Amino acid sequence: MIEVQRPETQLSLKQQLAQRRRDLNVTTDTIASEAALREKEILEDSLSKSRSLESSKLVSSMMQRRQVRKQNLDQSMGKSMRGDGEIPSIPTINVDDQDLDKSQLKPLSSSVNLSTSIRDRLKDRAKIQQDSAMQKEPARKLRGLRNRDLQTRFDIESEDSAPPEEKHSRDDEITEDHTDSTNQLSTSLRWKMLAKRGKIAEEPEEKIDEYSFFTKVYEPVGGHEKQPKKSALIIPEVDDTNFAQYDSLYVVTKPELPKHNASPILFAPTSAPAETVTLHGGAPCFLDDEGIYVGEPPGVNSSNWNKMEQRLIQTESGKKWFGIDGNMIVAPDPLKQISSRPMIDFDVDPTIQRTAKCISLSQTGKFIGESSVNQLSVSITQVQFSHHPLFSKEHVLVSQLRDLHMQYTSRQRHNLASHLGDRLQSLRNAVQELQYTLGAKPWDMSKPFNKDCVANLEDYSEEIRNVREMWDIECMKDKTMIRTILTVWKEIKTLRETQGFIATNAKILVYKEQTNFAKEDKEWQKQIKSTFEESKEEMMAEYDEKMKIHYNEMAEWKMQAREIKKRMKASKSKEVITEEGEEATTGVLPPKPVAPAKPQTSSLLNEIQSNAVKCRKVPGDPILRIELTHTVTITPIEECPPVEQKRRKDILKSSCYGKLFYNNSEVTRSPNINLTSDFTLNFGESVCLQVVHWPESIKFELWSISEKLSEIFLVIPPNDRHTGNAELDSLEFSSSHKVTYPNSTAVGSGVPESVDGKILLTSGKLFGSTAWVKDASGKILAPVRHDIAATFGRADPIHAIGARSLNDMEKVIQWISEAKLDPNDPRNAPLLHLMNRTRKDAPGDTKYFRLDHLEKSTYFVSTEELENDRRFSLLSLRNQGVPEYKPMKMVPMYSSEVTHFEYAQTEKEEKVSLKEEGDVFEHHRAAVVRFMQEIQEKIASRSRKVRPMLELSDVVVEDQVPDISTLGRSIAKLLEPRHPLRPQRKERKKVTNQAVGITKVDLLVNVSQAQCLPIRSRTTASEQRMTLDPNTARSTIQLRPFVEVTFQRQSSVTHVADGPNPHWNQELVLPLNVINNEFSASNLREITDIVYFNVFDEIIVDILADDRLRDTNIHQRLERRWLGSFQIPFSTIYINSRIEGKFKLNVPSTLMGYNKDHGLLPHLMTSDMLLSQTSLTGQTDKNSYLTIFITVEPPLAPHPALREVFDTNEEPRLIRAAAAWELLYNGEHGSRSVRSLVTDVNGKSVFITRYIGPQNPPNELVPEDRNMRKSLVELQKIAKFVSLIPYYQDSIAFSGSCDIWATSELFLKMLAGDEEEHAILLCNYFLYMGIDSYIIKGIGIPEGETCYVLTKQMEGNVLWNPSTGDYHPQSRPYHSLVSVHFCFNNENIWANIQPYDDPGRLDFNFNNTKNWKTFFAGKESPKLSTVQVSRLDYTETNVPAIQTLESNLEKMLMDKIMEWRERHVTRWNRHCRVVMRQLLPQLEMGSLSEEDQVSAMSEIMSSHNVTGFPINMRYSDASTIIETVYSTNVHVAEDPTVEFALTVYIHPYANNVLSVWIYVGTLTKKY
Amino acid sequence: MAEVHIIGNLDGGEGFSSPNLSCKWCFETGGAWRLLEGVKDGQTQVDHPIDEGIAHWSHPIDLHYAIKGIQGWPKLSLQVYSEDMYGRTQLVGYGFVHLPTSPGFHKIECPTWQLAGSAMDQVQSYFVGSGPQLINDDVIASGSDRYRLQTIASGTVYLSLFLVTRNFNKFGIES
Repeated sequence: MIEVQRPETQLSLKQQLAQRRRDLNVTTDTIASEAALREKEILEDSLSKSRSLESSKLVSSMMQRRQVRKQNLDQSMGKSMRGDGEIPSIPTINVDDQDLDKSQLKPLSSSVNLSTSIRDRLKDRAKIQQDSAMQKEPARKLRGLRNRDLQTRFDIESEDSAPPEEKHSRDDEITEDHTDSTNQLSTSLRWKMLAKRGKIAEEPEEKIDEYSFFTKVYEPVGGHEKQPKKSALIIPEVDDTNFAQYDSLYVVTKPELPKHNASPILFAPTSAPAETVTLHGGAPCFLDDEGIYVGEPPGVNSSNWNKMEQRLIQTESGKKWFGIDGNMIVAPDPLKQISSRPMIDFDVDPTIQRTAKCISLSQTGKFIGESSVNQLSVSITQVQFSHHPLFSKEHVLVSQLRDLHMQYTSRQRHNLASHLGDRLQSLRNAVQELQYTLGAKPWDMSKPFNKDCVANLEDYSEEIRNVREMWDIECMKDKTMIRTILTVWKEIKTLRETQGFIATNAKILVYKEQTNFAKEDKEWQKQIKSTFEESKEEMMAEYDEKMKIHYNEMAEWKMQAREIKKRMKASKSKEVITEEGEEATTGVLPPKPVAPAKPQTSSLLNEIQSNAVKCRKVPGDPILRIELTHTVTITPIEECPPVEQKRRKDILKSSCYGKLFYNNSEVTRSPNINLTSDFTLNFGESVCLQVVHWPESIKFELWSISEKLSEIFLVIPPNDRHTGNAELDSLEFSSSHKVTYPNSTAVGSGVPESVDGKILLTSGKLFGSTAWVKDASGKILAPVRHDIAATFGRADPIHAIGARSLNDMEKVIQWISEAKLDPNDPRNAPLLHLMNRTRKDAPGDTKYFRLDHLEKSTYFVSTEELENDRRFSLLSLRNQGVPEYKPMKMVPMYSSEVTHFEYAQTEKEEKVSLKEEGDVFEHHRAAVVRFMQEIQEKIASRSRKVRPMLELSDVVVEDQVPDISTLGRSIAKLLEPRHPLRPQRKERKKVTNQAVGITKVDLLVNVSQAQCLPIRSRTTASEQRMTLDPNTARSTIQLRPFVEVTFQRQSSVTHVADGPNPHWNQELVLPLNVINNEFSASNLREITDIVYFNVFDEIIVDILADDRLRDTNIHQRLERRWLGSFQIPFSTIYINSRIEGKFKLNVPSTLMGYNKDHGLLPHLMTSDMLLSQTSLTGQTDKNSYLTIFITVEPPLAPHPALREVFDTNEEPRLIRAAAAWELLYNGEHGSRSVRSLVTDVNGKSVFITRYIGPQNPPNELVPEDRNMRKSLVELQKIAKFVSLIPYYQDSIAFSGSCDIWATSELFLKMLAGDEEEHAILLCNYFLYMGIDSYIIKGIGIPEGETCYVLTKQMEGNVLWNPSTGDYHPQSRPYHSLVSVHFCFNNENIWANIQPYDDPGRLDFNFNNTKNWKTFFAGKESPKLSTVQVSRLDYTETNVPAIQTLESNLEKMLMDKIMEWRERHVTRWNRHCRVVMRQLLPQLEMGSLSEEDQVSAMSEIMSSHNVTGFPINMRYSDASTIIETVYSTNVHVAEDPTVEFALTVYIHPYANNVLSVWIYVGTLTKKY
Repeated sequence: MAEVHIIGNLDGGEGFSSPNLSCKWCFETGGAWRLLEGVKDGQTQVDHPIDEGIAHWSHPIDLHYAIKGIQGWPKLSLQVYSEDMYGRTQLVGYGFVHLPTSPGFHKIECPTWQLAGSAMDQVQSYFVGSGPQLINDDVIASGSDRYRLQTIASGTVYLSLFLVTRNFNKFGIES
């Protein structure tokens, strides 16, 4: 209704407002406005009055409403009470009702009287207004009033809703009154009409409806509940034109309100607390007082609580909602105390590490820190002796008495007996109550409630028995206590009498308290009675139990008896022969079980009574109270006997002092304190300690003059104990020292006392306190300890068993079971849960944890089955790229079809197994191979982990976009001078590993020229013959050389050139065969084949037998004579992608039939050759060279070296410096690179200089003479030894992934290594010899990246090739070392920053910083310890084994040659062999000149044409030797008369390093 | 023995803050799955679409699993990165999708999300780029501990996959 009227008023107000504005414009006279103001004031006054009235009315309406509600059953109570805020709107309705009387509205009867007075007053006031308005612009005044409230019209709160409503009603009145007035505005007319229409639409009942909108909880009656709300929202927006539609919404059906006349149906509970109700009407008992956990009740408003209680009390059944504590049964508060909102720790920067300062109490962490001031106050007040050597007998007794009295008083204070008595009583009451609840049928077990009750009852009776027994014991103790005190006191008294003096002032006073006999007797009887009852019951129960057992026994016995009887009968019916025996076997009837005697209750009563008398106070007996006083006067010293006098004097003499120790260090000591006559020491000392360490012990030592009496440990105060709240501790102490005082009454100490033979020890009590000092600001100066345990509560396992034991499950469980935790307390829930679980788990005893133990059960195939599936294995092996399976294109569909399949493992093993026969070094080699494989696997697994990062160029083939620099360069190229005769090689684009479609790879060998080849000796018969040949123009030609390149058993030859310095300029193409034809990087890397270059001399042998035919026939035979060879492993080519240069040809030292002396033919020498032949050392270079260029087509990008960061033991600073240094250098000097860290066998990075350090060569190589040591000849011997150690390319061993640097010891042990190892060993040997030597790292020919050794000697710098043992002076123009990158020794690394890098032009003065960049620049190098052992041990080579090896090799080679010559007969010339055999050792010694050789062979050469050469090589295995011999093509001798000679000599060096010499030759008979 | 082939491609992504996208992907399976062939994780190229907002990767996926049981059916977790004009990459979406269990062709759309981070992070990412990232990528595909994350929806990644199963009938799995 209110809402309905609101829009109307608003509308009218709107109109009026508009009008007022108009009017204001018209009328501007001041009087009018003044009047309006006054009018406004008046109205306001009346308004405020009406408001106060309103509030009084409010209360009354509330009362009213409550009454109504009481009658109204439909309305719910709680809601109506809550809706207090909305109540003020109700009276306004009433006002409205009254006002709208005329418009057919019936008022609510209840509110009529209350509101009439106001209405009257309002009417009066309105009239006044009206009158004044009639005189002066009435509309304006009203508008002035209305205007003010307009703004708050719709947003007024319910409390304020009254005034506008009121005004509204006033409006109505006014407008009504104005209807007939002539100057009335059309608006008022309209307003009235609208108002009327609205009211007509409403039914009187709707008022109730509207009213209950605020107060009632609606039941879905119809749609009308929602409408008021809706209109309230919408109406402000509509204008007057469509308003009419809205009031139709309020045609509402009559709500069906049930009419109730009977008043008591409704019950309105008040918020007053209800009377307490308990289950049985008894006094409430509180469970939490008894220590049972009762949860916190949830927070409920107390008035609501009370109302609920009242409501429940009202009904009979409601009582069951009350617990035994008289309150409603409430579930504990379900809300967590702690907010469970998860922490969001997003914005925590993970890079910031937060470290908590940890203060531990361990030995190292004693220090607290000086930041905080910690003060500890220790005060020692008094020491009181409970026994002192100077005690007299009386003293002893008195101290005994004092003890007893103290016990007595403490017992009195606790009063355990009466407490137990009370408890017994309460237990009995509880039992009674229970029995009452069980009612008539206490043993009806069918009800679960009863079952519980019975169980409780049993528990109770059990407890009663225990408590009763305890009570008896306590009472007894009390009684005996008093008795003993009195006896001691009597003893003292007699002692005082006998000795004739009094030494102590102790006295016992006994107070008697009379008691009421009648009352006590009643109690006594009752007690006895109940005890009797209980005992009887217990006995009965026991009896029942026994009877039950007895019945069972009886039943059993009866059964047995019956059976025996039966058996007896049966046996009797049969023949009875041995009746007695039968009788015995069938068994005598077992004795009948005796029924237990019924308990005798008669004696029980007596028993109980006598027990009570014994223990408890008999009724009527007075209560004794004992008090100890010190009032007896001590006999003065003069009156005492001399013995006592002496004692007292001793007391005066004796004195003590104390020492205070903090953490076992003495802090302070007290002055001497005299012993008082009552044996106390009054220290009264208080010490304040400034503490910097955690207190571990505070000790007080008590010293008599000369000896320590005792030490007492004081309490370490907890953090919250300060001087303000510290209590005096009393600490007992005793000492075991022996003191006797003869001739005095003093009893002494530690000796058997004369009185009762007890040994009395000096003992006493220290009174003192320890506490933390509290400063002026009230802060406790205690160190803060982060004690986890302290944060936990009482039931804290950490506290009880220590944090460390928390891991020990058993201990925790034990503690839980011992602690008897309250199972209701939610805090204990996890612990109890733990206990339950472990109990359950105990038999299972699972010691492992499975994440998904159920998953296995869902498998339909076992893991083994899957693993063993051949097809799957094949697929995954193929996927892993195992070489054997990688090319597999097809894999069968079914496992059964996988036929030829073997595991990769077996393949590998096969690889390892050795195929060569009869080799003494087989074991060693096998070991080496095994070792290599180990490392290989280690490295491989490492490199597999680090997948090489692909670069863009690996994936994308992209031509560089020409920029200004490339354009400029190409333009510059046009202008460059051209050298058509000196063509330059163009850089080819490299094909990357990923490039697909490589199907064919060729090895391109461009054989350019050779230099200084040996020439044929003039004595050669064939040549002689040839020179005789008139037809040939080659009479002057001494040589027809050609080159044969052999790779993978395929060979290709150049054309034949002329002379010792031939030019071929021919390109040879050799196809590359790869496993499975797959040119992947990993596959290419594994090619171990070697490219052999052999230079042969082609000899044309004229075999035309008949000279007459010479004119017409040519019958010649081409023979090739091996001149020299060299070899390059394919891996070197692959890694370096191309090799170019002049290679030294390995020409045997003597080549039969050839001459190395080129001096004879100076005209044939180029200037270049001349240069190369002369050296600064004055020697002629007799070496031959071959210039070649090798590459692979299409160009294959070498596998990138694995620049992996390995683990290291080096200092991080060094590592950083190395990285920086390398980066700096490698950036500056493009092609040159430095390395300062290398990988050792264990896969760790080691600083490069650590490898260098003097090491001893084998003794046989060290010359005795010190001066000789530095001679080149001697050094060369060492170099030769080093070069003889087998060579093993790392790139092959370790898949090219990385270079492993082994130590020399390992190198010698394994007898395998590449340039680095050789160079290091050689360098170390040189250092041992006292030669300044360095290792040069650079590029060499043919090996690519290599190591050389540089020695600085008197002759100049010498470069040593460690893998061949050759040496060249630096000044020589040609070197196999092409470029020098850096040098190092044990102290430093020097990087080459000179513009050149070929060693011939370099300046090796490392001090010149312009030319060399040092690693440890400026300062002394930090002597890094070497990884090498200082002394190498060499094993003696087994000579007999060598001899067998020698003969084996020889035999093998001979067999091989015969095998190679399968089409021919191979004859062996024994004689020649013997000669050769003699030559070989001399060759090894280097003492054999060419002439000597020739002369040695002269005998043979006289009859034969001999060609032959000795080959010297290191021994690694037989196959290499065979291969080398094969490559010489010795076996290719077509002459049918040819004879062969072959001999092998092995020169053993230390450590199984062998120098193998093979002399092989062919002999043809001279014609 | 049952086998599953997953063949298809990572088509592209759309709806991210920047269209220059690349995607890191990883298949995660349970313990019963054994990868026979193929790679289970990888990264696509960065696509710079010129005229439309969708980045196309067409990144091939080819996996062959042998399975003991169907527990732990593979799920694909994705991380989408975008590259800005300076060549910096930044994470623009995490996503994860279960592979369909029926054989045949499937077009899959994987919606992605991105970490919201704190206000400070947002300001920072506005100026400096990038944003918060997961320390542990397992969170993408695991169900636990995601409640701490506050995320923003990001774009969608499209996949088209063929699923080929073998011998499923033999073990009573109907698909």
